[in-house]
Amino acid sequence: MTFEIYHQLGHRDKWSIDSYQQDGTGDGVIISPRSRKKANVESLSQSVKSRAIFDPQFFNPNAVIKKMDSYDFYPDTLMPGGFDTGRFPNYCSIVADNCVDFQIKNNFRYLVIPTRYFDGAPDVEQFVQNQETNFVTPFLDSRDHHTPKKDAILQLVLTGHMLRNKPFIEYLLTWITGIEGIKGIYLITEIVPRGPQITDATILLNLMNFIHILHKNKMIVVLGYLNSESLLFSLANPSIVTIGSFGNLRIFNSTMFEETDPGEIRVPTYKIYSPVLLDWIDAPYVDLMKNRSLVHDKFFGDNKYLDTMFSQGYNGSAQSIEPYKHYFVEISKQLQEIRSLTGANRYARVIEIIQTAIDEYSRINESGIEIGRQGAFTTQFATAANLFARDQGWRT
Amino acid sequence: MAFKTESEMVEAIKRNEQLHKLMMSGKTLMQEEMSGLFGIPDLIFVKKNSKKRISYAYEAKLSNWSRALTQAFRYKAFVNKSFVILDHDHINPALSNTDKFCKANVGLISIDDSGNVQCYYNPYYEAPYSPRLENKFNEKISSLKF
Repeated sequence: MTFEIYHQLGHRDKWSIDSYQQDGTGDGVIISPRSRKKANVESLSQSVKSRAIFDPQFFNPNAVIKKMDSYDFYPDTLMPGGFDTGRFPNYCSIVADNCVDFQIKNNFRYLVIPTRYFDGAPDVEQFVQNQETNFVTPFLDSRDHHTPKKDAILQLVLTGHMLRNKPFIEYLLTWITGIEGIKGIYLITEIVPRGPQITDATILLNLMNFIHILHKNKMIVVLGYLNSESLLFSLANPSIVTIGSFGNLRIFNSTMFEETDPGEIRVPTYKIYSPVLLDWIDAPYVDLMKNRSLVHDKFFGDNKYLDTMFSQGYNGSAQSIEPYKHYFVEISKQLQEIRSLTGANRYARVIEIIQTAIDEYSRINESGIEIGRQGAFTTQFATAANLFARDQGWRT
Repeated sequence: MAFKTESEMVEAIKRNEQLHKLMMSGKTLMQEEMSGLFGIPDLIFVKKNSKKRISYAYEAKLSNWSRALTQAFRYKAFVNKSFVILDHDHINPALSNTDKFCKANVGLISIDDSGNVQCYYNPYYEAPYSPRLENKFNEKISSLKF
């Protein structure tokens, strides 16, 4: 089964929208109210909105962050005296009505039923009960009073603890696949601690199995906040995978939705995505890799943004547009190639890509370039891919 | 006795005579935690005499040689010689991996709380690997006095 590529929007979302529209790097966008005011969402063209998913971002009901205060459906704004867990059941219908109304009026592709973020692995029955009472029931009830009827997808944030807990996942799957009126899941994971990629093969495999079971139940599966795990997860047949510009759009971090002092903001050196290494490489290392003849034609891909970055006198920073537009072009090329394949053929190509990355990291290490743990994810990706493929009968 | 904190260790490094003997003789410029480059070295020294100028970066760690090596390697983007300095009490794991320091051409030194310094690998002089960061580094130190 093929899948679509969506841009996870956030800070400087115009770069993503332009890339999707002008460079053909995706099929749609996931809109973030944290980073875009209500009026600026409403004024997006209908062609963007009809392909877009609006993520209500209810993760932390105690706070209304940044541009979220321009919307009228956040519990903390809507409830007199602010959000309070005990009183929320009295307000959840109003919250749902306002949020559903906004999503339907803007004619987004799906109706997203939001979720609250829960740390660790709470009691699964309480977890389900909370989602059901506060979100699923009021949102589905509200949808029934709106036209046109939109397919509803339920948002879920799973932590590493949940994903390691088999009974938790089994209970959740039974619940999800039994909810009448839900067409799919918008799945986000928060794994702590982690580097840029998820480096735990067990979690990766459990996630792939979770996605695969939802697929087998003919559910839409939207995977948010992905780095190059998107290539690996494609084996489990998701409906939509996401690509994002800044790190916090490729790695979900619930603290982004807390009211905290950002402290000193450091502007790091820029990085360039390598479709061969499946990761972003710090620009100074790129200079060194070039000097040591490690960079071949395919190493960083081929597009006009890369030409600019490799041109003499380029003085980019982590806030420059080129590294991100380059990433969008290269990761979407990889995903577009993979989605044209199915089953065992897709697996064969994905494992070939991962194996090439493993070989190239070895070459870098042997050359004396000390990039630390970068690349450690590749063997974990290979393990998860191979175990999943064995279960599917794609390898013995 | 082991150091209690990294800052205690950095203070010991700053005033250590033996360490200065490992560097070229000449006028000295020292800067702590220079940021805005590629990583933040605990200490930067620039030595200058009539013939030459050499820049040195030091990453001090109580333990965890591997992380220190990765960090020190970053500093080679803008200095000529980069070193890891570990607490002498935790040097053994690093000594089992000196080949990695040699391959990366990153120096390895230990220091104890009495100020005794031992150098296990002294890297050879290299031009910084990122011309852009080298320029930025030079700009930063040009405003400082030897």
